[in-house]
Amino acid sequence: MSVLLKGTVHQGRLILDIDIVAGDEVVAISGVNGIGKTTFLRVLAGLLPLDTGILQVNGKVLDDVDHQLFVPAHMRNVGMVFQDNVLLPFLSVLENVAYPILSTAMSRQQARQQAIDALTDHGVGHLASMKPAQLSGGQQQRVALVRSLINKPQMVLLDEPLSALDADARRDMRNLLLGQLKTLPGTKFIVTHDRLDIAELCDREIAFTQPQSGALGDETQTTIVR
Amino acid sequence: MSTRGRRVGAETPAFVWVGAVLALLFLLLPLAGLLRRVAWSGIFDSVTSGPASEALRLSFITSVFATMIALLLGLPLAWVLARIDFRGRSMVRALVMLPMVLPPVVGGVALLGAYGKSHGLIGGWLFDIFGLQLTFSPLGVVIAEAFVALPFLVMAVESGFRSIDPRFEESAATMGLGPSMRFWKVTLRLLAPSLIAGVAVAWARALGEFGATITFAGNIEGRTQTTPLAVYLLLESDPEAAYALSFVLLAVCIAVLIAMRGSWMGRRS
Repeated sequence: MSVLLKGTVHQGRLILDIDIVAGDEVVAISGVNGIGKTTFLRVLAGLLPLDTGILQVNGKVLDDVDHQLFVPAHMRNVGMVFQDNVLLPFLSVLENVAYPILSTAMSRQQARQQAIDALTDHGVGHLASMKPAQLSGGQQQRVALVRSLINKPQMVLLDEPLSALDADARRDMRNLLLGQLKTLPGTKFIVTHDRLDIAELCDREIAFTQPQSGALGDETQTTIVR
Repeated sequence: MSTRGRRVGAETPAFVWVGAVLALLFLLLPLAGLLRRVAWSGIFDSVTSGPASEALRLSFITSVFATMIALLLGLPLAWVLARIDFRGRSMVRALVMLPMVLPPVVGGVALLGAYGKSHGLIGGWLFDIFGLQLTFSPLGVVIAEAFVALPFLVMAVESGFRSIDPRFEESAATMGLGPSMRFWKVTLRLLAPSLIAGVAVAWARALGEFGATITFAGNIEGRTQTTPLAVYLLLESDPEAAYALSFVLLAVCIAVLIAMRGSWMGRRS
């Protein structure tokens, strides 16, 4: 077992009540807007602490409310791709991709070389010297994916990586993910609404649902994740 | 759009044009008057000799120090106001902005009340322990200028903080950058245009400070007589130098406007 998450998190009016176990697999996260899919990814990434419960990844406890233990995002080694481009606008594509490994032990030159290799492997080596603003949406997402994987993350989180792309770019990116995701170690979570994405890319689906709200005037909405 | 201005509701009534042109004239006429009175041939000599050059030198040094103080204190304050949700935040923000609307003379009186040697809140204490006398000293000029400039910097940088998409920093965190690395390498870099604009406007404000300075630090030639004070005095004794100095201040302000325009339109990133 790779990811074990049992707990709750409160975000405004939303309560996420999660109890899942996931192995080395690609897991689709589905559900209507506002149901807490992104919140769920943020909990896994360490951008949001749990309010109750425990998160364990590869046998290591990353969040344990009872024992006041919380490993912040920068120490979790996760790869995350957001819905649309969050490449750093003031860095080139190459510098963006090399950034996560610059702080590791390897030399600057090694880091750059590794970044170039990774870009080339993903068919975007020719973009290395460009700035993010010069890229198309599809190219940006490709580069964001390369960046998220360069550190050999123990868990990959993709927040609707295809939804901002047009049809062609979407197909290309889906093919890229198809080749990548199954071969990567660790658990891969991908938030998507698209049945085709779920069918082609994912081993299984976790559908977020909200039971009918309780008493009249109850301000909170509980999302159940099992 | 080829039908621009022809849509119903987009027609401009005549009185709007008249008012707009009058407003523009009202703003530009004094500038034209100033420029007409500048003795261009002797301007260099006017500002590089006598009290004028002393005042420019003092103004430059004090305004740079005042801007540095505003930056060092204003950046953390802007951060807190922009990103930390605490009770009474809007109250604190209003207090921070107070020196922007306060008459500068009142600001000077308030500074005397705080740092005055004999009657100030902590002025006597500063003098007894550190031998520091702020009133009637160049340091007092710096304090007065920083006092009026700080809110301008805080305002510009706070809106800068708010305009940064937090996901840049979040993705930097998932890339393995710790909090201090994120601040130096990501936040500060994204904040740069607002920082430049804030520094520029704070510096311009410090450079032009008159009321608080003359009230708190006095008007001692070579010690606390900054350029605006010198302009006011020279208008009687040496109008040519007064207009020359005024022109220098005007030119600096225009340069600041250009710098801010460039950064606000995001051309620097």
